[in-house]
Amino acid sequence: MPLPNANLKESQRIQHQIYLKIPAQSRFLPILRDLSEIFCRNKGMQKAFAHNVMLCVDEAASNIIKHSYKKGPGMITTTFALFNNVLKIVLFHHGIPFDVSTYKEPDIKEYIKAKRKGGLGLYIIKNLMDNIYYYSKNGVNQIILMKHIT
Amino acid sequence: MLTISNKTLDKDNLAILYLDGHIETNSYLDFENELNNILEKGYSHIILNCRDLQYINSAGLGVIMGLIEEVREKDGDIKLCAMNKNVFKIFDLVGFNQLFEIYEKEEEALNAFTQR
Amino acid sequence: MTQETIELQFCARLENLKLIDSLFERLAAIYSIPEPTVQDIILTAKEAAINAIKHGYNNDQNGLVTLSVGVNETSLEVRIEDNGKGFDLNKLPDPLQSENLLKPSGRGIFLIRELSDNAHIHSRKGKGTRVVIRKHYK
Repeated sequence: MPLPNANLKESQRIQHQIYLKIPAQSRFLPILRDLSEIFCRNKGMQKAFAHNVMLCVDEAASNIIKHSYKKGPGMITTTFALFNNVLKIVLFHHGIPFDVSTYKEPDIKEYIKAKRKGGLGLYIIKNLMDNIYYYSKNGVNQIILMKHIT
Repeated sequence: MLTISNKTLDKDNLAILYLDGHIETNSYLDFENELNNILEKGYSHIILNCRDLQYINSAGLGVIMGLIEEVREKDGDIKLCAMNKNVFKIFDLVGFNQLFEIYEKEEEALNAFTQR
Repeated sequence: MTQETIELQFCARLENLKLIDSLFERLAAIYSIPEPTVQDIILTAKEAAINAIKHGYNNDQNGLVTLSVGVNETSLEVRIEDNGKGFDLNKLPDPLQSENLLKPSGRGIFLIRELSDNAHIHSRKGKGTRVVIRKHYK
């Protein structure tokens, strides 16, 4: 899995501008959503854009809670950075990594016929972000969301 | 946080749910329970009034997705109205705009049910 | 319930202080912390963070301020740390002394001690500062 490449000329002194570590429980997600929105608004992004970013972070974190930590508690760490007009958000967790090969683009009509309730989270992220990467090493899994800011 | 209130029109088998707040991981089950309650009471024409709905994520969308078939099998429908721009964009993104009737005003949604 | 921890780190910009309001307002809802208590905590945490930004880092936004919160059934512990320039605790002016009463700043640490059940401040010149605040909420 290729690492997101260095179009990013990252500051040598800090890699992120905001960092949040929370227990991987849904009651803490509002904290992550708030922080995400505040970060985007502080950086001058429009409300609609900030809303979409917040939604993507929420979806990614919800997926970690739902799937990756099925068997026990854990923590989710999220970092936010904006450098050179590229927004980079990374979610770190120690649970079961997502198997990218299992993803299939949802057919909503089929989902409706099947009365399916889930499966839209990743679809939403893929359509709102420019890129989503998954990276695992030494038990640490990363979900990397990237978006160019115009 | 999510608060749901409702208004019913028995002669039309119609219920309007007013969604106030956020439908997400902590509240989507409440949303689902409300919808199920309304359905169990026999209302199959449902309007979701989203005027005060600030946020919805895939868990919330999934509730609608999971129930619509059952509602339509009973010759009913779930129609939506009064969404703000941010919420509408998400419905549009996942294609719900084509699969559901989404109106600007509650009146339009009501008319869509009562005028056949 | 054992202790649960939340950790927040942000770069040294005053605009990031609203993260502190937001964090504690959400924690108040999660743990049912009474409103006056939350407001005290927010005030003390922000005072400590302002000190870190303005004095620890001289407003250099490359500095990182770390805020960690440990919550158990009855109390919270909030820790605010920076790797800034630190200061000599013994050289802090007493804000209640008459010559200092009308000075525009210098009340932060005084407030932190007043509004917490327990406050510890550790600092060494060149090594940064750590403020640890404890507050009962139940």
